[in-house]
Amino acid sequence: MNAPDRYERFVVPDGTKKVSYERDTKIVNAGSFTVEREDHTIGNILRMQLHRDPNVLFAGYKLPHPLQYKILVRVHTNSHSSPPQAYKQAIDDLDKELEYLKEAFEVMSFFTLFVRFDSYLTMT
Amino acid sequence: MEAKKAAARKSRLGPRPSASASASSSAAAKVFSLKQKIEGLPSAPQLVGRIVEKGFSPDSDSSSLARSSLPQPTVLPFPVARHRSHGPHWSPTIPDQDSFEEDMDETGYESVATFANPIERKEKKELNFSQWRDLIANNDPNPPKIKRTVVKSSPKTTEREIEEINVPLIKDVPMRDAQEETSQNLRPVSLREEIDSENTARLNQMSAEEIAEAQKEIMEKMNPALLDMLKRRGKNKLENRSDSERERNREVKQKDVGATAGDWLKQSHGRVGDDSWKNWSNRVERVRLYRFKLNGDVLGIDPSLQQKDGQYNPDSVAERDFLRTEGDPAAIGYTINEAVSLTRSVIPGQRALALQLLTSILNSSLHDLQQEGNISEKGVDWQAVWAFALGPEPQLALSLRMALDDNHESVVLACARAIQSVLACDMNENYFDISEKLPIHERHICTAPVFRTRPDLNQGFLRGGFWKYNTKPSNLLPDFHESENEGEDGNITIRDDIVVAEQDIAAGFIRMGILPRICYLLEMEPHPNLEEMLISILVALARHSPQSSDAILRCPRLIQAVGKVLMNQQMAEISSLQIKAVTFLKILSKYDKRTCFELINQGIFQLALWNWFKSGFTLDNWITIKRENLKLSSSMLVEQLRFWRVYINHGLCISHFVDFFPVLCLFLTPPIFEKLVDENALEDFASVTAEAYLVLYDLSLTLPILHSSVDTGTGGENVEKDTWKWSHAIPMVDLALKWLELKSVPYFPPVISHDEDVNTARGCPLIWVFSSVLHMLNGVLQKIAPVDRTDKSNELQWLPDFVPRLGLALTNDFLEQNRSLLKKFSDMRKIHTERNIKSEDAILASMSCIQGLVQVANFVDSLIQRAKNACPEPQLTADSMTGGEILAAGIVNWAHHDLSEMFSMITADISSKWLAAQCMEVFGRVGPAPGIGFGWGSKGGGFWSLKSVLSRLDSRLVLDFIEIFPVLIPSIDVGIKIAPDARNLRTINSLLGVCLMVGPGDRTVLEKAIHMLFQAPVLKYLVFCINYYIPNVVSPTTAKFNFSEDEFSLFSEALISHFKSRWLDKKKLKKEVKQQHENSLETIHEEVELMEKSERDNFMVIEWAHQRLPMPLHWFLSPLCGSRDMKIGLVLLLGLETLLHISESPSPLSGVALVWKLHSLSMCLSSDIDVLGEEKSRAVFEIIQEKYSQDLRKLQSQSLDFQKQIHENYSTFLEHCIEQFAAVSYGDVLYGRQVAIYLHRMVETGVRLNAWNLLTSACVLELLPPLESCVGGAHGYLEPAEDNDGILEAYAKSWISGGLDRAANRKSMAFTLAVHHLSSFLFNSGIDEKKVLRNKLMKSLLRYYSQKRQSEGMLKSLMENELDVSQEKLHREEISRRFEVMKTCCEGNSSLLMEVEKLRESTNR
Repeated sequence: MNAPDRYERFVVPDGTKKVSYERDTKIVNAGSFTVEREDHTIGNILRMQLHRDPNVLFAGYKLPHPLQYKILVRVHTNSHSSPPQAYKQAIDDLDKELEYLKEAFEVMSFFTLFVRFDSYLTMT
Repeated sequence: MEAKKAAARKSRLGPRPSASASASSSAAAKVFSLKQKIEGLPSAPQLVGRIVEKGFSPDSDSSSLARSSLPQPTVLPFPVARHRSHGPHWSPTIPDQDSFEEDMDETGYESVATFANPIERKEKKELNFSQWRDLIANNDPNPPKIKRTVVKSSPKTTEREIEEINVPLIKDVPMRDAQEETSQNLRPVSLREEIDSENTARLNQMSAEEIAEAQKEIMEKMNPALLDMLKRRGKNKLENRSDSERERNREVKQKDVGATAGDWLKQSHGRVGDDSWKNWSNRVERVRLYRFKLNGDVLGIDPSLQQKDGQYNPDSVAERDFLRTEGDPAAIGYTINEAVSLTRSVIPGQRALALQLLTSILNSSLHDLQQEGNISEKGVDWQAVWAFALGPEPQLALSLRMALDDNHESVVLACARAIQSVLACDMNENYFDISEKLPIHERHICTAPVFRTRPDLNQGFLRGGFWKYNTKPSNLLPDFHESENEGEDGNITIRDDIVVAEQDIAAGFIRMGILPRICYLLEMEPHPNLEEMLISILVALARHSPQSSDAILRCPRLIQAVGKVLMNQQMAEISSLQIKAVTFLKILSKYDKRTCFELINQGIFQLALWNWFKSGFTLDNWITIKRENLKLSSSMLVEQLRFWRVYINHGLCISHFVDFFPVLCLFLTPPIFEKLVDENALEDFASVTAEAYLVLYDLSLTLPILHSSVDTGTGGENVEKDTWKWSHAIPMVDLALKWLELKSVPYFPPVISHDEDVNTARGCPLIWVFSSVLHMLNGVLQKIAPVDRTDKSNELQWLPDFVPRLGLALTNDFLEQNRSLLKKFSDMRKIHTERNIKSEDAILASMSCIQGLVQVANFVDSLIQRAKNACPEPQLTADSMTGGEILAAGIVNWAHHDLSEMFSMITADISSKWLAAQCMEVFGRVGPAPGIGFGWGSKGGGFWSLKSVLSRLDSRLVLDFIEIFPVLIPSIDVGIKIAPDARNLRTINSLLGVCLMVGPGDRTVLEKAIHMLFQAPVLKYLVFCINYYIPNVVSPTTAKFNFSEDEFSLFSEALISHFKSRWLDKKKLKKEVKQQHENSLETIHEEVELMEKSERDNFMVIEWAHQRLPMPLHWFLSPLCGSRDMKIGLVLLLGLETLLHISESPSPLSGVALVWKLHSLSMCLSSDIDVLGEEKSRAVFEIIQEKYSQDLRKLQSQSLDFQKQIHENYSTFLEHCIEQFAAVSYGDVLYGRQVAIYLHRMVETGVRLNAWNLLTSACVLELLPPLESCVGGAHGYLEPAEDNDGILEAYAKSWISGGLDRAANRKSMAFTLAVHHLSSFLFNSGIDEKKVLRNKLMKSLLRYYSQKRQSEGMLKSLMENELDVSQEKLHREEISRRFEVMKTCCEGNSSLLMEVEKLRESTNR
């Protein structure tokens, strides 16, 4: 009845930014990102990527509530980096990795297609 | 040689064909028998509608039919496994008889038995080939069948043979004894088992040589690998078998002991130590064997009962007694079960006898329950007897209810007596009688048994959930909701009644319709004895709960029948029957104002109070009544006055004061004592007087406030309300003052002596009189001016002249005359506690008296202070000038010395009492049995004992005293170092004790205590203590805490409102709200009325259900667990911790286990991380953590059982906590320390493993702090070395998965922990045990090393763990030893060995 509309899960409402950053007031080089309309899919992968970064001291995320469609990513880095930098770096790296994965997949599927086609030709 | 082999083969092959032959023959017999049977039965109901599947021969079908029983129509017991039936009431093991019956096939084996062949197994031993051939030749089972079996079982043959090899090789084969064998025969035997048993039989026969030979033969023949495999298999099989045997044995044992009953308890109440529950259920189970004499004594415990269960079946007990009626029927004695079944005998004499027996058993156990201490002389466990009798197994309620329907009067009489003792009528009446003497509105407390709801995660698993009735109130009268579930009406069976009676015996009786039956019996004008018992049963039922009173009111003609009793008796002399009837009416009217109206309208009220309307009632006449009747008459008068008091409290019948005054006056004025003493009527007179003054007390509470009415004029008067008048009150006060001014009262102040009777007879009633008088005066004083301490300017223009007079009377006469009255009272109390004399009544009276005194003195003082300016010179005569001075100084100050002595004595007493108050709760209930009130079966009565009344009275008294002597907070300058004042600490401690002692009836007391405890000055004082204490915990340089005054008042407000809402809130009934939504407009009116009614109920009646009191020991942790006041809660916790540390006197805080405190800290963090964000609360948190760290270090032998002590689902909480840590903590050190606690070696294994796994999966192992800074010191985490396989594997797993890489870099405690425990396991543990695990772990670590070179450092630290580098030689030797161990672990794997070499090289370098 009073459940939010389905589209609310992925449509970022007008006037809100997809990602916003807020610096922590107490700790240096720490801050939290709020990513609107995302969930564990992005949160977990992002966190794991951040963990790989040697400059990142802490990276965690949480889904504040199942019906609030946003995630909070908290990052704490050492002095060589900063949370936005680490965040950007992680996103870029993930992009590259996924791109690579995609390419590899496409090459493989192309090959299989080619081989199939080839065998088809030889059969006929 | 050849011949021997052949023989061996023969003998090995021998058994099989014969087995198949016998099987087929018996199968044939079965077919035959079944056919016959079916023909024999005209309508075989089992066969109708059976589906015959194609492809299945009828043979196999029939055999399956014969084997298993057909599905029986069963009725599920109505409330299927509801939580209400879960609980500590001991429940019997699943009734064996029933299950046996169900398993037994109704088709009857007996008829088949004639066709069955005898078992021929014994002959098999001698079988050889020739016999086998003969068998085939003689019997004509079809040969192909045999062939088939031979072919089929050929692989099994090998197995069998192998087993033959194996069995003797293993030394510790548990041989089944004969009993096992027979028990096994009962079960359906599968082919495999059959073969197996043949084998063993065969093996038993063979000599050692034969076996060796056979083994050799097989060894030669077979492939060694296969042999090895088979050997292992055989071993496994053996182990399995012995395991299953052990299991079966255990099952059997459990059936015997009935310990299975504890299983569901574990689910419902994790906190209960399994042991205590098991002990209890064992104790109860033992009662099953007790045999009782007719007088209720235990004759002995019959251990043989179980073995010859068949003969001594309780079902056949009637038969047994029928046979033995000519002898001494009581010779052997009866168990409870037998007695219950004897109540259903066909012979009325036996029924009556059985009921009498039950009565005497119940009475003697009740009698014993009154005594404190463990088990009575003779070693009879009466508490368990009581629990067993009321417990589910004997189904006592059902039998008694049936017996009440008997048509023999003697049986009905005996039954009524039995019901009376089941309901513990006398004990409960005794309790209520005394508690009603207390003036402090000791309202009616419902006696229905209750249990607590389970703790839940949102409130931090804190104990002290809401109480609930054992049985749903709607279960009381099943037809009450008839309209709602009309369709299901047919399903209500007697089984439901039994279930209800198991949960709550009184509810069971009501549900089984005891009320109409009682009504009928009353209408039949029975024997007066029976009548009295019936009415006392009604009283007990009425006390049960509001719902039961509702049921009584709904029962047609019942009230009229009771009214008729009053009518009948009016003419004749007073009897106890009549008194009970008045009690009954009194209780009913307490529940509901509407009942009162009804009773007035029907004239029953007037009828009940007929004595008081009588004119010409004089004291002389009254005294001259015969002794016995005098007693009855006085108790009748008391009861009538109590009845009237109920109406006064409801605001009704106040105007009757004028009507009753002539008689009342006789008792209100001080009598001529000599006359009373001569006639020996002092006691009776005094008890009526005390009650009469209590009536006046209640009346005084309805007075309009004197000063407010003066101020507002006549317009402010509430016309609707019936009130007492000041014009009536003032003369009454004069009468009361006369009592205080009495010069010499015999036996007062009383001297306590060792003779109980003397105590109760002499001093006691008079103390009660004075207590009532003082309270009545107090009530009047309250109404002079509203108490408003905050408003200092509120001065009084004038005072009624009795106030100073009262003050003078108090000082000059009452206290002066009975010099050192207070001292005598305190002596009395001391004697009482020291010598354990039964004089609770007198002590209660004296305490109540002191309470009245303190209150009156306090009031008079404050009134005089307030009026001082207005009338500087009270109108006094000249000779009382000294009195005037006293009044000016204040009575309290005048008697300061005595009072403070009294106060310190009571505080000392309180510190020992709160524990007893806490112990009343057992297994989440207030008593182990489902009786009512006293029948909850606690030792010594539990809540329903005079001791607990006394402790509650004490708690009130303490509060009154604290009002006089407030916590004097020194004006603290934070900088100055003053040691905290011991007296203040003691006061705070006693307040904490009071908080633990309050029962469900004392909500106002708790409220007051909380207000006192958390007022700003006390909090300020606590902070002062903290600042004083901090340097002992952390480094002395730490800043002190400073809060402003505003902050303190803010704290106090927040804490008070939190604790009030957390512990004092009543449970909202969801149903009412729901109904409002569901139903349409027309019901709303009714609902409103219902709500009103319940509010009114609160006034006179207290229910255990729907509220939380008494509070659990750790109640002060509640702000930390799921509330918004965590920061304040932390300050409070720290304050209380320091208090515990500083004060010498035993504090209630010491009862809280460290586990709880640690848990509350975790709870606090996991619910809101912001606590650590703010500077001050972070500092507080750190100090508390440090404090607990020190405590943990001191904690030696105990373990931190989070799961066992807090909740069985602790892992749920842990998950949440660690999730928070991983998500939002930024790796905070304090949070890390808190989480790391769960890896402490003292924490139980399950929680530890769980915590580690959760940390690994959340990838936060590296966030844990270094080991040195962990809570409780490094040593506690490392020693003793880990020996649990699961945890070691978990360590290795997170190592291999790379979870520890970063932890190693950051020096997290996780890495240190893993390295330490792994290395001590891999290198230092014994050689043999767990070799497999060790090799596995070592190999996987090495493999990880080969894949990932970076982990070299980690592996090195593993090698060098705990080695001292300074001693170089030793160091080198140890390292090389460890490398050797590592090598052996590789088990010759060359690639891994290479890795070891590499590692060695790099280490050497």
